[in-house]
Amino acid sequence: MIMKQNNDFYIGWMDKAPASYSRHIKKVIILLACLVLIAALILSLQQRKFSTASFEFGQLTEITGTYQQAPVPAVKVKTDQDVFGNSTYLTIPLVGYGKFGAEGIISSLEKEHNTPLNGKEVVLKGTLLYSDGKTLLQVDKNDNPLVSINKPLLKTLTTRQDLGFVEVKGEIIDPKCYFGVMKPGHGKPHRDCAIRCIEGGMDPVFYVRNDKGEANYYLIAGADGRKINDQLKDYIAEPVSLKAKAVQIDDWTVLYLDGNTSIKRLGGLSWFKQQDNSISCSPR
Amino acid sequence: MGASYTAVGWNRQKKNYDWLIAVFCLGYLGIFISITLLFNEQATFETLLLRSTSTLAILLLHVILAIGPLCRINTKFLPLLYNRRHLGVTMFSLALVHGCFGIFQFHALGNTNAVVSLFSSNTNYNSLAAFPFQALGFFALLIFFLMAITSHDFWLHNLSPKVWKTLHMFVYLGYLLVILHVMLGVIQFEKNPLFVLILSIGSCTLVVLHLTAAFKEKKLDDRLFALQQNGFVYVCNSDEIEDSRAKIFCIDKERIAVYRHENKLYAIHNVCKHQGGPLGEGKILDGCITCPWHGYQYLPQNGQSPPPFKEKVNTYNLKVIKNKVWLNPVPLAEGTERPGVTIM
Amino acid sequence: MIKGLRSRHRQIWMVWAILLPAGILLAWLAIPDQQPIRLLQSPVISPLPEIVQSGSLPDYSINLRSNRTRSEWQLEWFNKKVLQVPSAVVYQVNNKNGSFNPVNAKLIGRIEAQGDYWFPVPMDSSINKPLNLVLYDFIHNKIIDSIQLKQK
Repeated sequence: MIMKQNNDFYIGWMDKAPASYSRHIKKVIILLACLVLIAALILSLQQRKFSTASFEFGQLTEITGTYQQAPVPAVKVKTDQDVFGNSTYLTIPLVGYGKFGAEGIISSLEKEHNTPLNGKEVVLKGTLLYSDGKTLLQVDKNDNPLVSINKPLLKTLTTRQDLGFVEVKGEIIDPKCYFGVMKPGHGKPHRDCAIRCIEGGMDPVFYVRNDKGEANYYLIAGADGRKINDQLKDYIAEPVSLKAKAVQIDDWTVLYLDGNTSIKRLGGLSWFKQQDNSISCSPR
Repeated sequence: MGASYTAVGWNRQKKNYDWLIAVFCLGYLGIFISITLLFNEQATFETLLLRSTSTLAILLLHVILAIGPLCRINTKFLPLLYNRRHLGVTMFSLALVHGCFGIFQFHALGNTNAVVSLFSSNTNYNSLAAFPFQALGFFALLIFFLMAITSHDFWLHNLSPKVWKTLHMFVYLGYLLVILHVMLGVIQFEKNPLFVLILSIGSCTLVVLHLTAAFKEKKLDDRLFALQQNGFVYVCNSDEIEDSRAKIFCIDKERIAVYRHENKLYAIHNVCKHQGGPLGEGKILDGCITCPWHGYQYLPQNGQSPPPFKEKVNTYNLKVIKNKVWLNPVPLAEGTERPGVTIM
Repeated sequence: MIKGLRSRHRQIWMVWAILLPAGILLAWLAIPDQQPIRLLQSPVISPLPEIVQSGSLPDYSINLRSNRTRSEWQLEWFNKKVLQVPSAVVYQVNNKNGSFNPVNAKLIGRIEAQGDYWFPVPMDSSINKPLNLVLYDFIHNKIIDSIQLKQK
């Protein structure tokens, strides 16, 4: 085979590439520029819509309410009386700084003031995080969170309603990341963080959705009211079904689990996946 | 071909190359972040940083891996190969930002050391859906780190080319780990089939390119040379070889380049001592055989680099009988003098 | 590239030609789907048959419902988007344009998750005029939205 006459030869350390190489590389550069542009557009526009959760980073808010220890450390804020003369509670669960629950801080505050806080009206200062009708408060010892302690309330307005033994399907999430700090705060990419938060003492929440995509959130506690965080590790951030006793306590439903025998992974292989809106879709 | 260590041997081509890398990378990051913020004010800085750096790093990785086989298929892509290591280091830097920030974001400020947490939080290695994808990303990053820190020629010489090349072959394992990291990680949440399609197109393109180049090369390697006499093998006619260029023949274990220069033929080992470039695809410039990859040079009559450089390749015995070129494939010691065989 | 290295490349990419698509496919098949459920809630109040007044804002649709005899009234609130405030309570006010003070307003109920709400509303003389509503965040003491319903 006779080789074609070809005088062009490329060496990198020469000042200029031969004309035929130059022409070819210019086309390649244009192609790469288009690739970069298209990739940036498609990859950014096709992302799933970000959550609208808020974490009031750097802003402290004082909350006045009754501190409750069970089923989760929370402050219960009383609303005004409605048109029928009834008041209800807005329950604000507490979380700690970083990937920790609030028990440690509450415990140190109780030691510092030499008084238990359970059942007392308190003014707590912390950072609010909220989304979709649920609100939490991060209490950090560096913020001097306990502003004041008042006397215990004589009468509690807490309402309880037994909803019976139920089986629910959803996802175990850590409330701090989901309701404020991270986007996404649930699902596989967030799994490790959720495990870290729940193992750090944060009270797990069960996130469920109906077929319209509307969500509800349920607190998870052990059957006898104790924490079962350690037993949930392998089931966090994936679809599971829970069998539990459900009790409506004010504005939160609590699922009392009887250990990890109550939890079952859902899954299996499937071709078709339900799609969520991308960032460029207009909201419902 | 530096005689002494310099961090980067800058020249005009490298500078242009690096400028283009910077423009494309900053352009991508700017577009990705702007578009995300334009349509989604609720996007957080952390998620933007993680996603913009990771998607750009994966895009770069595909371009980097495509360069090698593209150059085998069409030599006009060689300018992309020349400074490919800078692309690699850029890709690693982006992946490092993604990886380090990800470790901090998802594992720090908890009750366990962040790196320990990476391996101890999720231990569901027996589940596909729950698979600890972050560990895959960690090992991919480790591979790219080792490659980035040994990307300079200093390490090529000190580790020995064989060790260096073996280490750098791990890029393919790194690529597989990255694909699985994405598929078992963010795609489990994003679920958009378009992302899977893009990833599939990228990996299919690389598979096709590599296998096309591989089988093209195999065809050359498998060519049989039936005519043999006293240890010499008939390879071609002398007028088939252009002046200042070579033809390559694969006989027994290795490829040999037969060059024509000033009406004489010379035979040297085809593999450049620098990074294994194909000397036979080069050209004789100023009396030196010049490698097409990075411009390393060798004298045709003895396979030695011109002073002060010290690289040497094997030479071979040749003879030309009635216009037919006969080659003895047994290599002579590296740097052996072999005067050219005159073509009648 | 030496011959051994060429073979190694060929072998790797022939294996990758199988592993890559297999890995992508299996990972796709394994993506779990969130399974929708019937939410655990207290028994839902049934909407009353007639819409007397209505209004809408980008994030909410509101109807004032009643029965035929006008003996019962209900405020129906469709929360179309996820709330982005720490609290949201609905107040009825007398005057749309005056300054808002929760002390002088009537608290109807609290909105939480995205979804549909029905609040019983006591009948009084103001029910015949267009209803003025304020959505209020009592944690931050801020008005979120206000709306005047229109007669149907």
